[in-house]
Amino acid sequence: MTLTLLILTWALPLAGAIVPWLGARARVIGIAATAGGAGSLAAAVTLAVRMLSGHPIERLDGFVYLDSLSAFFVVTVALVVTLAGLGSYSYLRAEEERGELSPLQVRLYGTSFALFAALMIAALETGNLGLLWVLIEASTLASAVLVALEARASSLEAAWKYIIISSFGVTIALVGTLFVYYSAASLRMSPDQRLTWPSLFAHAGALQAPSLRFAFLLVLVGYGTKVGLAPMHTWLPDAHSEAPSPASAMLSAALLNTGMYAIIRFQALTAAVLGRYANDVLLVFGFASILVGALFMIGCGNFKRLFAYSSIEHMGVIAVGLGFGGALGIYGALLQVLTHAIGKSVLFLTSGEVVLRYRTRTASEVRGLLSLTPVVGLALLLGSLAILGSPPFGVFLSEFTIVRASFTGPASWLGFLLLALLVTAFIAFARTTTGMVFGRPSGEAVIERAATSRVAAAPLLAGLGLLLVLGIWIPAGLNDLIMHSIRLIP
Amino acid sequence: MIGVVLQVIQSAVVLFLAPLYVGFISRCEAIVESKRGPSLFQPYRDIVKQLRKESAISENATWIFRVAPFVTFSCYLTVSAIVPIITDEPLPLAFLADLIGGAFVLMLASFSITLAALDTGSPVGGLAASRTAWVGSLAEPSLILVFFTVAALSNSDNPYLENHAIANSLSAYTLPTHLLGLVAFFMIVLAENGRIPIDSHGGSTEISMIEEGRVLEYSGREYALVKWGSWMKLFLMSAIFMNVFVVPWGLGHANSILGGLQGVGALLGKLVVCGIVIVIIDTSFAKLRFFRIAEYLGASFLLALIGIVTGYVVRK
Amino acid sequence: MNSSGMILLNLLSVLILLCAFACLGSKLFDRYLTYYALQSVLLSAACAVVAYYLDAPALWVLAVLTMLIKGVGIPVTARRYLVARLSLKRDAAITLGLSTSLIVGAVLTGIAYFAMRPSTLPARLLDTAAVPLAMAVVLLGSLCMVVRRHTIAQLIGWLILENGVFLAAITLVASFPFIVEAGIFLDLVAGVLIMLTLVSGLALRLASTSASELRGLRG
Repeated sequence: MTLTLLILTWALPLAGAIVPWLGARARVIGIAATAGGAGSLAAAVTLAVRMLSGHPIERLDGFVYLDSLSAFFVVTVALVVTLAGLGSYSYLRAEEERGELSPLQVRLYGTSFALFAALMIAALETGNLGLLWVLIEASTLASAVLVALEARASSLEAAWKYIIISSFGVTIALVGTLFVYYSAASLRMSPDQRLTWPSLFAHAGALQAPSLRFAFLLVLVGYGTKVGLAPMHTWLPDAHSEAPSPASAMLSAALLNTGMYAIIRFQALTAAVLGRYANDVLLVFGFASILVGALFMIGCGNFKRLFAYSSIEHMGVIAVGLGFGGALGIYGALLQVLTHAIGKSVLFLTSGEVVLRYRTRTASEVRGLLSLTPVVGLALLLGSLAILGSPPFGVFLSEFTIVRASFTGPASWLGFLLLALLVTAFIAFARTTTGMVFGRPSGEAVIERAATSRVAAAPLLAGLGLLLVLGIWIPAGLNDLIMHSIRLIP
Repeated sequence: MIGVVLQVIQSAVVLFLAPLYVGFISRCEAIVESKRGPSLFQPYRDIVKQLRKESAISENATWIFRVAPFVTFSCYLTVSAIVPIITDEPLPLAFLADLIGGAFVLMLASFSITLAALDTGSPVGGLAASRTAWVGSLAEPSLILVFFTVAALSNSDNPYLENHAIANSLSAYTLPTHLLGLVAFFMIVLAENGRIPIDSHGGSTEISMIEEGRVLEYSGREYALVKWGSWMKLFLMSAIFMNVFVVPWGLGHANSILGGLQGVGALLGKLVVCGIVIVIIDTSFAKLRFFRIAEYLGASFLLALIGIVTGYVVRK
Repeated sequence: MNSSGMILLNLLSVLILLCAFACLGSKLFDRYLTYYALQSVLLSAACAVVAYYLDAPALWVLAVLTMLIKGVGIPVTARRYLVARLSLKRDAAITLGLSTSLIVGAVLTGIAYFAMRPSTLPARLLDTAAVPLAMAVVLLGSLCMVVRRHTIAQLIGWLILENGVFLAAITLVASFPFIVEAGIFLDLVAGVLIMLTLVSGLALRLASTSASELRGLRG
């Protein structure tokens, strides 16, 4: 039964890949995507509940592996897929009606979206580090198609940058995986076993330290490219801003988290052997990312790029949380993973609605959203507040936990640095978005369909609602899941 | 006693067989180009012809111009005594210099001709002299690095020891250090002797000539000496290439004249192969644009460098 | 593994490194593809050598796959669909001169040798020079990607990088589990196909495939 549920988590989204080629129109594709995501979410939540009471699932020599950490991430990603599926519905319908997308493009969107979602979820459910690499690289390829979908010159440019830099980085991670594999050379296990996370973790004492040190650095740089840690972030603003908005949501909220999952696994392994080394390296890259994200947000004219820089910054915060370590730091980081995912999805879906109406990605051309399209404007306003960490939303709770973790550690000045950077980010971000939300709408703005359809509003309100709930009360099940996961990381 | 005889034979071989080598290369090249080509012994006839002619020397030339041909000729004869040509053990005069010393003596020869080219004050001579100096300065570091690869393999820079190190052990022969040094040295041989792709040999009417330009002012007896010297240089460098790098077997011992004579035969065989390779390169490639010679020699430098570095990584 | 196998493996590794250098030192697109094809053929030969001496049937399959896909498939496809169709001849978008990049490549080779010296890798599976050489190829591929601004040149750089990783994998640990290697191959093929499509699209849209022209997205 459990295995079936596991397969369903990625098979349901995958089924959506066939739908476009059966002659379906945009609406049906959107429905298929949403249904796939919702089914996957249901299966994921069931699995997560099982993980709380039972043991990790390990099958096929470790090729299939699920424990509470994996379950947590699968739930997050499935949630994002569902929200993005709803967004795809409105996006595809509007674009097809307007004739912006050719039928082939619509079909490509449907297929790539489905493949992307399925590959990401499958990557979270494998224990074999090599297979993890294969699936992450495959998801890069599927998402590159999405980035290039609208076939503008700038989209193609962004897709090229994305695919080449990501592939480069991920190949570096492959070298790192190779060295991890090599560091276990003295263990008496079958080759398949030697590359699986649980067996490596169990025999951590027998791994060779020097090559593992080197390996972790390579893996962090490699998968860090996927996550968007500075200085390997250069592809991120372009790719996330040029992709269609539901795809941007998936990229920012789900793919980055998948990369982070890989890093967490390697961090756990390295921490078991090398102590604080992994934490220090994570802190360095984390702070660099927050700095880059915060600084580039100042004066950024394109609001989708703004959201992308915010993703960089948040990934940096997660890395910093992992770097501080301890129960508080990891709790904050994992909670941040979930809340950032929801918040960023809401923001990108909102931006999708804005782009649909205003036909521009420049923030200065958008004014008075609150008066024109109340739902979208409210969503943007609340979403920005949420993502920047203001109470009572969930992100506040997670960032607060991370800041608390920084003060319990030896270097408390890092906590002040973190706060200062977060404040900078707040100011830069809020300036742009409040400018978009308030004010009088400019006369020449081309507004199409001022009323927001229910389907478009649904994910926005649902996401905001979830964030609000998480900010006030963490459900016991979620709390237990995170606590279980913390125990997996030394 | 036997050593002395072999020494004389060795120098005589270099002296008298060099024109044959060059004649062979010219003939082969002509055949490849579907022509009949000159006779194999044509270079000998050219030397005899030139020796009989009167030499006309410019009024502006000083004693350098007169002396240079003799200096180069004797330099090449000196080098012929110290490198393995027909025997695989050093002959009595081999103490004169090792590989680096031999390289210096060859440089001295080239240097004196360059001075002579400048001496006459002719523009063509000056041009050729400056170009030779430029190519030489780029080839030098490469040559030194090739000697270092030799050193990495045989722990010395003695060509005879290198010969032994390579000949006695197949694993040493197939070491990347040796193979890369081999290729680098061949590229330098082509560069130093003015073959394609550095310079077009033969014709004396092209303005970009490096080798021919330097000796343009010479005529008569001096010209014969200079030409003979440059043929000896090609012969020597090809012989070093084949005997030390490519085919270190087939050399006679230093204590039997018969072995020495067999060494001569083997040498001729090896030079046939080397000559054919040179002909193939001559007819397949075009001359490089002048400033691209730096890239060519840079590639040679790089190969030698990688060879040396790989030597530390790949153990025997 | 006996000594003739080691000699062969060393030789092949050095030739693979030289192919990477040759790629770095040339400016013509045809040459890039030729050197890459040559390097892949040598790589499949090295894989076959390891397979023979270690008696690993999975490696034979990988060797054949390497030959077919990387040695023949990718270069031929790239040549037909890109170089011939777009009539690409000379790569003009190079930020670092050829000689300079060769020298930087030599320095990187030295660094790779230093990082992979025997003391840092005590339990090598095969005591050959292939691991440092493979790492050097990885660094050279990275250099090619960074220094060249043309999209095809960057693609070739990535492929060379993958070749280096493959060589390191088979000599360091005698290959990953087969399914992982197969997955890597699939990823490679899919990646190359998508990249080729993107480059064609870029050529159509921008009338240029040099990434130095891709300056639209800034800030």
